[in-house]
Amino acid sequence: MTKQELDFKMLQLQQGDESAFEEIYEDTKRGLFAFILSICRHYQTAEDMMQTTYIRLRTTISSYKAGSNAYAWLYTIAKNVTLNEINRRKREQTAAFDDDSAIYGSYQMNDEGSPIIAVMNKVLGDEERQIVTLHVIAGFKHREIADMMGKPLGTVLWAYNNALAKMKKQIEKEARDED
Amino acid sequence: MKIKDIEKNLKKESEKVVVPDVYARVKKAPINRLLSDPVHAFKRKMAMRMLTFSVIILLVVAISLSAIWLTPKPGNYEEYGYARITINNDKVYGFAVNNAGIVYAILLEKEGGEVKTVANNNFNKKNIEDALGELYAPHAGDVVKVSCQFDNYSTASALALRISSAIRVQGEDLSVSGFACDSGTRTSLVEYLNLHLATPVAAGATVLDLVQHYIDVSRTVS
Repeated sequence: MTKQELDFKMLQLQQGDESAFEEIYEDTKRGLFAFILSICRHYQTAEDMMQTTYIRLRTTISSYKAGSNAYAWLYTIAKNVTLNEINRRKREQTAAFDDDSAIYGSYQMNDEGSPIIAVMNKVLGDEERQIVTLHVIAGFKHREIADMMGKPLGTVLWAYNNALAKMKKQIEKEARDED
Repeated sequence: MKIKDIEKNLKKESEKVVVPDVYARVKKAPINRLLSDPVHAFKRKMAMRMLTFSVIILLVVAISLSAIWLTPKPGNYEEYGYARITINNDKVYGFAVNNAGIVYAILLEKEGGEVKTVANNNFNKKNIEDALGELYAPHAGDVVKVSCQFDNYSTASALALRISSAIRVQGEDLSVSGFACDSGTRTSLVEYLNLHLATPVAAGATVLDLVQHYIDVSRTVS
């Protein structure tokens, strides 16, 4: 779906069109879930946050402005609800942990079939992982990512290229270790 | 591996991720619709504002009316007291009155140096000026003392002043003095009542208590 088409669907949803919501959902679910997963790195949490995001979409659709970037609007909701949940869990954390597993949980994807994703989770920082996910998996342009994250375009471009360079280095290292 | 290959493989791997199906659960959430008709939206907003404004006005009016209703009105608020008219230290009339000067009982308490208990019910529910006009015919040189007893000093002094003025306008050469809540009158009133009551007046009796006793005594001797 193009941005204009999604914008139109949002306006239809504003009128209470349930079929428009179904189309929005089907079009955005994969990219949105990947993005949320890149933030929280926990499948179950990502599923909950995905549900919260779409509920929030339905309950706040009246505030959507026609002509806006609907994808960016939706992904901003997803980012906010996910980060709020992470922060909430941090506040409730009672034991000290060396890693963030209590907050994020362990990554439950089957890494055997997803070596690149495993490398991405291993070597990239939070923002790098989000930028790579938004560009590669969700299909956002770098300029759109910069707007969504509130960062200069140059910063996003640099972070993206740096992230891929890190991943490349790690992949090559693992390949050498296997040999 | 080239960067482009990393990007391509990353995309392929992400497509294998099982995206959870939350549609059924999410669909239960209400859609916060935008009102399609701007005019309708405006009307609804205006209606809500008018309603809120009306409720506020009603509340203010209700509170104001309650305050007015609860405020004691001078005309309706009734106090009971006692007025004593002493003429030339010889004749003493006692009146059970209210703050408006309406009479409830009259007793001739003293005459010629003797204690009397003579009730006069002809002026009940009439004002004290009319009663005095019938009971007392002023003569030049008369010395008249007016003493009023009320639980409220202001009421006592106002009535004493009013009675004194009413007597002075008789036109005769009179010496009229007025007193309010003086202890001498109270003491002698209590002594007078105790002469007629089976039980002495209680020590801390209010003027209202005294007046009630006074009315009871006047009925007894009527």
